[in-house]
Amino acid sequence: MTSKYLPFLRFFWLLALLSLGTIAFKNNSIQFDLLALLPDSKTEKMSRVKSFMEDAGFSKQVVILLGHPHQDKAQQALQKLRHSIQETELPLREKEAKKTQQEIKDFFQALYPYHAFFLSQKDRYLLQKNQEDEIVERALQELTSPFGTLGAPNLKSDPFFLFPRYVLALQTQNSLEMDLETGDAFIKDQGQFWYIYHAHLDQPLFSLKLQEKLSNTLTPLIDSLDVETLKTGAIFYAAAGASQAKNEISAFGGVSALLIIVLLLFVFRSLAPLGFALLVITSGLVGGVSFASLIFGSLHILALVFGASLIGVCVDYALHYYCAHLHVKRTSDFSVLKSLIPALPLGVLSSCIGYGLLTLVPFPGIQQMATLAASGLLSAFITVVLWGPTLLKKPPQGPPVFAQKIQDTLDGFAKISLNRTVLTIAILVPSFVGIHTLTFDDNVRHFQSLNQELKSQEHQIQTKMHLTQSPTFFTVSAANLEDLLQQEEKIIDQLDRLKISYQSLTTLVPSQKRQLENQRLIQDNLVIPHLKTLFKTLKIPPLKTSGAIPPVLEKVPQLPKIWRSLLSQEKNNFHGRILIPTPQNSDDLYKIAAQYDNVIYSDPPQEYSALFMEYRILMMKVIFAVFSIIILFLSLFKGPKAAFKITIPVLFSLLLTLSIFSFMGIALTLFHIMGLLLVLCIGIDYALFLYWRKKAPHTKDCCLLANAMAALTTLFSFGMLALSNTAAVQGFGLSVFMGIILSFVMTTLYLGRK
Amino acid sequence: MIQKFPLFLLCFLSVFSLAKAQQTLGKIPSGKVLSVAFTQYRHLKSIPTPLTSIGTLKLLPQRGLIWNTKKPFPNTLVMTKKGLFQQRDGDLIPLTKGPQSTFIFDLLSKVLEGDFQNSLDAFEIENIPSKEAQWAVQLTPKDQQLKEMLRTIDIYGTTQTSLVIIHRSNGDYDEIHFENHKIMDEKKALNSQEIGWLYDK
Repeated sequence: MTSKYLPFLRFFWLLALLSLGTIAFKNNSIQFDLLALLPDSKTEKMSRVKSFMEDAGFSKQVVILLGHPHQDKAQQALQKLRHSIQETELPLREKEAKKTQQEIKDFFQALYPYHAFFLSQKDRYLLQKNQEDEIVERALQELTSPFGTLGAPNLKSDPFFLFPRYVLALQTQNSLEMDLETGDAFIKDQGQFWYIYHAHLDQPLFSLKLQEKLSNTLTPLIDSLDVETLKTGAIFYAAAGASQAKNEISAFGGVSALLIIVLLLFVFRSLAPLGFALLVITSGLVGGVSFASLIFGSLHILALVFGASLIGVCVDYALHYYCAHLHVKRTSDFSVLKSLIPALPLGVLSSCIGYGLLTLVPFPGIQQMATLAASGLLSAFITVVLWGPTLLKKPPQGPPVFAQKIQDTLDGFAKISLNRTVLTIAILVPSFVGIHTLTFDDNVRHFQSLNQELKSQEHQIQTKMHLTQSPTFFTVSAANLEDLLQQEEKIIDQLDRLKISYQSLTTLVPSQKRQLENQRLIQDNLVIPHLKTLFKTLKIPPLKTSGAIPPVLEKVPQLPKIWRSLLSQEKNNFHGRILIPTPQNSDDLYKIAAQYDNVIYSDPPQEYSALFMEYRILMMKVIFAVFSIIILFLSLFKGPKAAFKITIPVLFSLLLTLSIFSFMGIALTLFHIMGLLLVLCIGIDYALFLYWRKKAPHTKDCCLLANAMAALTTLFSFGMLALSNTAAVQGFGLSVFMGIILSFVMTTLYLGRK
Repeated sequence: MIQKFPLFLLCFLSVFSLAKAQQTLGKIPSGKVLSVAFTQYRHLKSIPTPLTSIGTLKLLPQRGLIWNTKKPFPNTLVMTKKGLFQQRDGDLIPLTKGPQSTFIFDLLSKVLEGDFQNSLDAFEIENIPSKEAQWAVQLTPKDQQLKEMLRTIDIYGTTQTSLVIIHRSNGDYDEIHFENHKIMDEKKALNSQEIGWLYDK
């Protein structure tokens, strides 16, 4: 009866996969935003980080320095670069130094009418400490020398040059100069003139098209200039990363595919197992991605990649089916399948139940990955059941000679007489020692594996331009501008005491309260005691200063673009940012934020690192949960003794892998843990097939051969990732490499003997 | 032809004035220091009487300049290629160097050094009545940004530059008189502290 319906079921299944795949492909959208991995409760801090990154535009900036000992040559190179970029229509919009200067000039001109209320932080401190002599001396020096640095004297309204001192204190201490003829910014450094091309991208950073255009157009343009060049920008790193990934995919993919084909051909002397394995994996991927896409609408790239890797377990099903097909006597179309019961369905079921329960975890990323993996494994299993009997119909004349030799050798290995107790102690003791000395690394910077040449250029640019990497920052929220500024002033007073430099809105525009304090300080500590003496020293009659004092500044004038990330307004709330360019000790800064309800301190790399740590811990719990669920399920199915017999070798392989990492000084990351999850799922399958193989002691089988082939194909595919230059991929590959070898050895030693 | 004539004459006169200045100015020999007494009158729009300061300057070509004001307020400024510094309690405190101060320092140094010809590419040059001096030129900046800071610079001299008048764009002007020019050995002109300033900075 079943055979009668098999063709229909087979056809229906193929149609279902194709339909699902087509629908999912059409509606496909992949998310790259890390925030989408998190539940809503985790997103506030990360939202602040994301919002700041967008406002500051760090990721879209491009900086190119063109250097030559002769100034005109460097300037000409800049003109040539500018012209070439315009001609090739690259999506780069240049930030003109002249325009920036004009915006800053306009801003300070708008503030000037209120200069009676403005003091630099340093001058405020000097006046508060009655150390105003320094201000008076500087004023005298300015007035009596032709080399004025504080601008034209204004003896009537600002005899002590307080407003120019305030303006000067705000300008970043950098080494930039301006070419008076062209308005271009440049730096003089170690005998070279470095002209600066500073632009931002008009297109999304992760557009592959853009990266390709950049590699093919901009980089050769820069290289063709007859001057020394330095460049930096996230787009260059992205392009280098994409190029590296492409090279690795080609290299590893090509080598992996070749090794797997050669292995299967050499051992089985047939393309059938390869073809069958590819069919099963493809159906698993299509089924898994389609189903997950239909459930969630869009999938995150990380969930897609790791979920898809978990589907790699299903290659075991294809290889076990093929190996069983080599020796099982055919009594019906389902003879081969029957020989794999209950191991095969149990393997699928235990993995699906484990992953299925993960969907209860409130992390969207984990839910997507679990759904993808579970549905993918189920799809692969259905393909094995429906298509295996049809595609692998003709029984061969036993296993090929070489395949049989491998099976016999492994049988011999499994028969090695070992005292199980001694073996167990020999495994557990170093494992526990190793686990106790395990270290973890969640620092997001270590996952990046950035191109070293680009890093070196970035460092040189930062040194020459006195730039900092992306700063940490406080976000301060308030219902109105005055409250915001006063709150910021409380924080910056603490930062001043800790001698931490910062950039904030309130240093540009003090609160009204502070403005009045400043005005009082100026009058009481400077004007009243020192103004007459100043005029007397200069031997000029005292001037009548303008009597009327304007009202305080209540609104912030239009901020220049370079300072716009310091203030934002959302509905009725004002948000200010206090940037910390060179954070030293984040603990002090977190403590400051903790004192106020409306203040959050964000350290972007640390936030991302904390996110990775959270995911790492979660994945470790997931492994424990999946393992426990498998034990529970097997206990219910076959009793606790059988459950432990099956799972102990896998447990040992995981513990040994961890302890080896520990002894090698390798700090565990999220990606190592993800690899261990794959090892758990694959190892359980090895154990299940061997355990149920034990129940037919006089029957010939190729179970150890199937496990060996499954292990080798996994090593050739995932294990090769251990050679990747990308830290995250390398970690995953190393875990799988060691874990699979140990899983195979442990399951063979503990369960391989009939 | 007629339109070209005044231009030709202007160029000719400029070159003539420049050439005369260059020929008559003495140069500072290598390794020597020029020591000069100055009197500066700062005429500010906002005050009826000028601010007067008196002092001495020491110029070591290619190294820097020490501007030592004695009256009305003792103050020492040191200008080198690395920047502008104020002397306080024996230490040099860096002051922010702006384009205007850099420019004036460079020009004054070159003019006092006698290296007239190489410093004037950024200017239109015009002959002006020389009063008691042997020669007198007026420099007008060509560059727009410089024009925003300076209107003209008038320089008078004989064998040495004797008077520089800096007219600023806001109407203020500085009149700096130089006298008692002395060329001295470095070791005689500068004390050890001053040598340290000019060589270390």
